Amino acid sequence: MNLQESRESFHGNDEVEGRALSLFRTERTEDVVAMVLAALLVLAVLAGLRV
Amino acid sequence: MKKLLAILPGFTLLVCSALLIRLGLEPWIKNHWKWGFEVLHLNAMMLSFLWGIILGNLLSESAWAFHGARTSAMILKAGVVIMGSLYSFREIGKIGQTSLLMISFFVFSTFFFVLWLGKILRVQPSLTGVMACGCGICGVSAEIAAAPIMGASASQLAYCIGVTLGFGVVEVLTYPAVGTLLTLSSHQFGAWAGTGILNSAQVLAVALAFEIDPQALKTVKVAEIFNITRVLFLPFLILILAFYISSSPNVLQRKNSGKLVMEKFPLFIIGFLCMTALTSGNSFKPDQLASLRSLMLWCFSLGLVGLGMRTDFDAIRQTGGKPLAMGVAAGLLKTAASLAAVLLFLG
Repeated sequence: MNLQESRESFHGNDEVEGRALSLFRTERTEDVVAMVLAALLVLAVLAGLRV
Repeated sequence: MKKLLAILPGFTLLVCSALLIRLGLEPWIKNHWKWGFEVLHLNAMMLSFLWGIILGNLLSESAWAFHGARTSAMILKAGVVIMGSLYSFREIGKIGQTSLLMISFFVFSTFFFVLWLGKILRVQPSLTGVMACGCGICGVSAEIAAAPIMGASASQLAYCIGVTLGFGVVEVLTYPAVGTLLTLSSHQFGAWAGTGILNSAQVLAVALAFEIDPQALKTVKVAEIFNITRVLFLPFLILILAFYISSSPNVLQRKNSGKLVMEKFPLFIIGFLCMTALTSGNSFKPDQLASLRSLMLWCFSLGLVGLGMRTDFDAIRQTGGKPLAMGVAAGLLKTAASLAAVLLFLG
């Protein structure tokens, strides 16, 4: 089995991936959203938010 | 928009749980049950995780709750990004030297141990590869990254996740108490947790539970550097796996190898390093850093309730036989060997 075939054979598992770990379709999307959320929180602190 | 509305009730549940635990339950236990707080480490983080497990099993049929709980991995990562502000590059360099040595040994030895065990027990190579990646690097994320490369089926992936999370629950409950009984220092415990625990989120839970100094967060800082070091190995082990599964090594072209490494690189670590760069450049005032630390702890508290909710005991119960034996053997060996290494070399 080569890499391409094994990727294709996994397409049916997308649902499991989503249910098992995260709301997002890919780990990369999750990372980007996490960084955006962190950036917003940092900006809020720089703007004067104190917790 | 529809997706956002769907996660709102579950997310509200996470926020209410974190508020209740951090403002009500933790102070109560701290004042009324000292042994539970100091030895069992029933602080806000441990309580968040345990409460999440209770909620997840009470509301197992409630889809509304789980939509919100699925944001927990993202919230935990946001917390880790903010956590970058607690370090300077000098500190990372100092801890990183030890972590690189220990982690490279444990990542590769666990990875090849599971591959070997899979051959001995005659487990399917696809399942063995996924399990090897999960046990060797950072648990669930590594398993999900490895599954398409190995051509693993949905049930094989669910099996591996069940083993990792099931063993992780035992680790969360036992590590802090063992650390206290062995009187490990923050540095020793952080290194042990960051190396020995299979799943990244549970490293965080354990280190936060053990934390002796909530202001300096020494244990968490060491544990997370060890954890990040091993996460950085992910793209390279995925590459090894791709070669392992391929019947013809020539199939994987040079171009594909590079692409694969880039695809699997954990992007949130760049955010973490950006925050470290800002702190190293003195971009934050002390009161701003205190607020960032507090926001980070809220993120972790929310995330750990969600992580607990996603611990499905039915799925873990169904995980029987050889995969369970492989995961438990690798987990126990890693725990014992990393504890020995910490006691011997980080005394």
